Amino acid sequence: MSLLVHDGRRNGHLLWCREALGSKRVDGIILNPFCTPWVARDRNPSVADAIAALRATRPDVMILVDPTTHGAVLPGTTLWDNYGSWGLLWPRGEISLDGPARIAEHVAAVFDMQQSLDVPLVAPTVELDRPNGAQAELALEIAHEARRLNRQCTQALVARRSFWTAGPDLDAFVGELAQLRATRWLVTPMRDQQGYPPDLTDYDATAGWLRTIHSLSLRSAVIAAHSDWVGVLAASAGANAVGTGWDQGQRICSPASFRGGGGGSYRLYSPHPGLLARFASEVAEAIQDVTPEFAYAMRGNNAIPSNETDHRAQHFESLGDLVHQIVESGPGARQRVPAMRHVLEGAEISWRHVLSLGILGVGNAEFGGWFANAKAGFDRYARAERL
Amino acid sequence: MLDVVDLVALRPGGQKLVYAGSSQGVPVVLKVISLMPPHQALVLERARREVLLLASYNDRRIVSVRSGLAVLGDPAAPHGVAWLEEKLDGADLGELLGPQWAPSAVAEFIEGLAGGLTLLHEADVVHRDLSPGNVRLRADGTWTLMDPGLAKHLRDLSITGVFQPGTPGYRSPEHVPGGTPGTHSDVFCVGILAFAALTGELPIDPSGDERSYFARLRETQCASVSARRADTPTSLVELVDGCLDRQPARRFLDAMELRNAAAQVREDLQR
Repeated sequence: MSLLVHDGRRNGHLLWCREALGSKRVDGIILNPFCTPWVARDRNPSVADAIAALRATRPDVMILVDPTTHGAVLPGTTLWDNYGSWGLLWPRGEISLDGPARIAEHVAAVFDMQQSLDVPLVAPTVELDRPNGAQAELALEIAHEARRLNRQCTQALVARRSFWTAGPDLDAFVGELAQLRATRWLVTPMRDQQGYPPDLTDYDATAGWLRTIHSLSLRSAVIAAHSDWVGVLAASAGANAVGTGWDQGQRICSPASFRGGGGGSYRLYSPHPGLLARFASEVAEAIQDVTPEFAYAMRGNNAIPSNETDHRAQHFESLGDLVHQIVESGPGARQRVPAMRHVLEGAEISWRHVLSLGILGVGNAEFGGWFANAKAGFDRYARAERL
Repeated sequence: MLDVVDLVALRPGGQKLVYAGSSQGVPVVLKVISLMPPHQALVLERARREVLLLASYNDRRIVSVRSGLAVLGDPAAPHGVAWLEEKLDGADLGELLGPQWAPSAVAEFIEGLAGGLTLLHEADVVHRDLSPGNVRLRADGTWTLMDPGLAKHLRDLSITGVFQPGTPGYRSPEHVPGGTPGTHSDVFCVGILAFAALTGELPIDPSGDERSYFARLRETQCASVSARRADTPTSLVELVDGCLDRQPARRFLDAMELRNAAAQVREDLQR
């Protein structure tokens, strides 16, 4: 397993998931109640029908249904159009985790739902902004209740930047998580903003996220959820799967993921795996005009996508190849970190070259956003691990 | 009341007074705790839990209790509590540390201590104060755990109160105030004891002020035992270092895991 597609809200989403599964470029789908309704509405099939369609495309597909409780209880959430049909997740009719009884009821309802859909059990959780305090205790309480009901369930961790920078407190909390002995972890970094690439200027946060994945992966499979290109770093720290998609809402998780509005402007993008980046087509064409052979190599020997179908195919192929390359370099961080470093060193040489060309849209801001900040966080992690 | 005679004072144990004596002709140890304001309720509850915990075991790897908890003074406002434990033969670990032990003896020690600790961890109890004075080698070679006075049942509310669990030099990163010692913390402490047995030194120096000691505990990865004793077999290095990882998620998570790994190392070293 290496690439998983997160649920999305675009029309045609299910068709594109089936297309990706059929091409074998992705290995699984992670559905969620904010994108797929329990009961069919408008153009959105019910979750049961969606799962049936995905299984019809590929019977062996791994499908997870993330209950996304962290979004439901997040202050400011307004995107209830699909989630509103999942009332079965809250037996008392209100979204609340206030007290052991409500926690137990919610966890049981989540597992009942997942069992009825014949999908693996994924525990709910709440978003954390620090590894101690009432919210962290609530997350542990939920996780222990989930483990009490089913020791094999997948556990979930969703946390903000301040959580990942908490140093020894973070490590102590991860120690508590490890005690759950989960078979699999779904680890989601909650970003402050919705844009991609994410803001990785806080190197300690990236290092803390990677250190956590490293620790959890010693005993469990780890999915680096909503991480896209940055997820390649997570694979080097021990994750064995990366969550991605074709829209920002799939590639990243932020509070905006659970709020309505927006939609953004339509642009066609071109993956450049040689630079660990993705550029709008006009930028890709500018690079192509200046240095065609280099541009072709940076795109992984692909043409600039001429339509969304091409873009999706190239994205999954290039990201999947990279994740696969890192995962196949060894069972854990000790082997994978050197492989990742090799990839980063090659990409840095390519970035230096493309920066020297003075192409509009490929400047220091893009270098920092797509590459340098991620590398600095990785370097901090690797240095601390002495890898 | 406790029927004990021929009392001889032994070393004090934490907040306890400890005496050797005889009860109905059988050698025993009498433990007495004063209940002084303002924490007498906490101390009483801790003593009650310690006696209940010890009474729930009948295994040579955990010291046996020979009486219930006796209240000293006015039952409505007791000034102390006391109970009897079996008097163990052999020697405290503290008397045995200093010279460097043979690697195979250290592997046997880890396996034996982890065996007793397993009994606690299987019941979701954390000892929280594994130190040379709380571990004894019986004459028959059995490693026995004593003094779980700071033990905590993971399902119970903490009653540590004003008492910071652990002994300086023998604390884990989770023992630092604000932390929550768990089974992985006991594993760390076994690692400290094993490190001390192998090298005659402590892996994390407790000297200086408490704040700097706590900072070292939380933020510093101690050196591998191989750096202090180069002839340590690799499998034993991995075992001890695997206890002493600063990050709890990367240690053996509990005594069961540690005991199984130690048994493997012991077998390897005996081949």
